[in-house]
Amino acid sequence: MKTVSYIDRVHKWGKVWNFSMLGIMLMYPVAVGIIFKALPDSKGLLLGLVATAPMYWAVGIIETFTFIPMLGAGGSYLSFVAGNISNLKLPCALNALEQAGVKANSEEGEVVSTIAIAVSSIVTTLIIILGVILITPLTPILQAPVLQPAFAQMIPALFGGLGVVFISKNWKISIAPVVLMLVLFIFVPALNAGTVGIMVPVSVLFTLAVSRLMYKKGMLD
Amino acid sequence: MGLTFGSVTNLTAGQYVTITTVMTISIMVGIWLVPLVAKKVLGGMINLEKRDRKWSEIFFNSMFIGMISAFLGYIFSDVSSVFKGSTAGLIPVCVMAVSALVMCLVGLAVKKLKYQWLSDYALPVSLVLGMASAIPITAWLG
Repeated sequence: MKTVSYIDRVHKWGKVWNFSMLGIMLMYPVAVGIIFKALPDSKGLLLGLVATAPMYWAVGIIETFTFIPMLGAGGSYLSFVAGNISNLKLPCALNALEQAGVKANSEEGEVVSTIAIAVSSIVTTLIIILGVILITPLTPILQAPVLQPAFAQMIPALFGGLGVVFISKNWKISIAPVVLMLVLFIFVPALNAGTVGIMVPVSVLFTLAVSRLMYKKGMLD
Repeated sequence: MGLTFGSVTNLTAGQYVTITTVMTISIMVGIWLVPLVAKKVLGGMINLEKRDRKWSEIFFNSMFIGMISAFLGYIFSDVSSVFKGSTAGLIPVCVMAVSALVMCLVGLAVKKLKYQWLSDYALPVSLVLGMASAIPITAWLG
């Protein structure tokens, strides 16, 4: 009997589930069209796609190639369906790998990363369900003016803790990208919360280039 | 379609279907691209590790550092508002500093006091205390 490795099964079922999700998501506009007995306007569709698709597709393609090596196979199939990759799934995977003491490119890392992202997705879904059920009693608490600053500062609170762990362990390769990103974000007004997702692949590519140069020059021994 | 951005009060069913179709097609790149390229990309990573194990390790660390650097840059994106007389841009920087400080203190407690159990909660503790610190920091600088 032919044995199929764990990773081959992950790829096989990942493809099945992702293409199934693709079909389900495409059914949304179809279902809305059937319910309201309306067809998309062909001119509006074309103009809309020309205006939005190139940007979303360019970012999506770059993000795909950037995040797959970091998330691993199982983590990638899950994350690209669930979303919130750079601000939720990837930090979860990173912290789990750190706590488990395994490397991202190892078999153990593949399993740990997949479990972390799966648990993150399940917890997010459960919280959304709880939020829907408890929306009436929770609304005054969640909208309390005193708590708003805390919710607004989640990203700095997350990356402060995460950054100190990873930068302290890799300080040599951290200097150049941290300085570049600080300069860009401080002095280029167009860079803000809306564009940070685009800057992640830029920063990753720059860090890889600098690290390669430092490695070749023997500066990382 | 006869719509002006930011001033839409009523949509027809046809316009809504057009918008949902455009957005659905536009945002789903990752869902179809990952199944097509994941195996090849990860195979390339395995080959990279076989060729040069040390560089492979640096490669992965560089990717993580690159991602973290982008978000650290974003945290400082409003700092320049200080030159216009507003200190609100310093709020995320201070919250980040509190979170980083808490992470360092937890790390010290794990190492010096041998509280190994605390290491599992290091990130949640730094996240929650960092967010909590945003309340007095915003009252101070906001």
